[in-house]
Amino acid sequence: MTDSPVLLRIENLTTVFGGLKALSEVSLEINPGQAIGLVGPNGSGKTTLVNTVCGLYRPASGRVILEGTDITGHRPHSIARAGINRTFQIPKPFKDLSVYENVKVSSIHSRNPAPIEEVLARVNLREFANHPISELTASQQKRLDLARALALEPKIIFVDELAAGLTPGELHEVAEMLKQFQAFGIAMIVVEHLMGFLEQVVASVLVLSAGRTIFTGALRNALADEEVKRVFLGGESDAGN
Amino acid sequence: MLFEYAIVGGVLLGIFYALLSVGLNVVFGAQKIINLAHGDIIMLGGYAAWELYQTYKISPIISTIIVVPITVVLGYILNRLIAPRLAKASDPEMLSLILFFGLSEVIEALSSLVFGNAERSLPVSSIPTAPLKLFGQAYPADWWVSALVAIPLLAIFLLFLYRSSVGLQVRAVISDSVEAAVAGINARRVSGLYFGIGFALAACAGVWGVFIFGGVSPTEGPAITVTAFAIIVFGSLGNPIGTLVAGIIFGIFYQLAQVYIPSWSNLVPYALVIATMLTRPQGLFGRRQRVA
Repeated sequence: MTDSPVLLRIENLTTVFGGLKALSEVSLEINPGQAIGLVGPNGSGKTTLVNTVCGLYRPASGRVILEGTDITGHRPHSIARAGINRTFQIPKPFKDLSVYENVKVSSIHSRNPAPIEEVLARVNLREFANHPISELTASQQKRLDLARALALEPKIIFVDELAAGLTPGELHEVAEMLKQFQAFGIAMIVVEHLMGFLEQVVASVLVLSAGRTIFTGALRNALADEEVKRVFLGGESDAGN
Repeated sequence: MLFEYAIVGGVLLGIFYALLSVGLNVVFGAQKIINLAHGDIIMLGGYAAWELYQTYKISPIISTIIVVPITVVLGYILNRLIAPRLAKASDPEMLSLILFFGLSEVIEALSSLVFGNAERSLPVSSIPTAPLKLFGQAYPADWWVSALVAIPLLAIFLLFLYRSSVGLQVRAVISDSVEAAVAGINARRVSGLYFGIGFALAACAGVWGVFIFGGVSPTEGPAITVTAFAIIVFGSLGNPIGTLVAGIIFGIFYQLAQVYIPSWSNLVPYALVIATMLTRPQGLFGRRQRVA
């Protein structure tokens, strides 16, 4: 950790579905401009953590503190306006809106909205502004998802499996974009399976298994950690996603 | 001559039917439910016009403006009351049907108590104008004035939906309310407002329904709901522009039936639904998979 003030602090966050503890006392701190990888096998609780922090799920216990303000259990739109934004594993753009409108609608509640063309340019979609969503490739839809997150002038973005299904060229392009966003001071929590991609954008990781934290620290150390290796290579019982 | 009369009259009435139906489609877009009390909201609009004219001699044109804010607020409050319950329900569609069926019955019963069972009507003289003469035929004043009122109302609605910032948020919420919330949109508030606008459009149609239907009575709601449902299915569920076109086509078909086979004309809404379901279930303007 650096000496800069903590941007987001997650304290002992627990999420329960019925009798299933999908997330168990997970804690995390992130500073402005920092990027942390969030890894774990399928069902380890990565997306549950993202959904809980973003207000889509209500936590059973624990706290989410953004810049010193407790936002635990706030509604999703309030959390988004406060500065926490996200992308989705499977992008779901507003299909009846154009590319431009998709970004425009996200910028409406930004305190300091950037011009839409500028936001689109940051994800290399400027020339598609007036296109319908149906004309975008999967990779372009993922970048549009990023543009929508950016349009709200976020302090932190949860990037949920952005790399899945991208070609090596597209992966490199997206990794460069994420590094650029960090340079602008945006913190990022990158949920990812592809270690090669993760190495390009984060230095440290938090590893989840069955909803629990099993490792936090440098990515290179995680790859050498015995428990991490056992979970990834030896299999485990899943606890919901 | 009769054919021209049916076509022109059908277009005039069709514009009214577009206004009559679009509110049902708006409520569907806001909450993904069929408002079985739609016809009853229209009926309440009719009683509002009747009461305002009888008591204060207020013109139906002014009544159309008066009912808008009242019904927007009523619809918004109702939405805020039911939406959280529907969201928690295991079968929200079924619950909404039961809920709105109940609401329809309550409105009908209360209207009977307050206004009596007899049909109430307004004199055509309450509209200060004369029949429209076109192609050698005269069209009743209420036909063309209702169309003349409906056109700006529908235009304002479309401008709101497709040209305003709130309209953009409405379309985002209709497309995906979770994604909209993550984009910083207060989806509950926006869909509540849109729901209220659906009620307002219905009430505006109700004001003119007193003339077009020859009066207003507590039992007219269900039949109006069926007609409006036929039109929105024909035009495509969730697509307001589809409803506008479908309303005009319905008006023409209805008038043609009135002119040539009058005793069969009341079957037009049902025939329209069946024909749409058999040939193009997604409606005129729908995609194969409906995206409201």
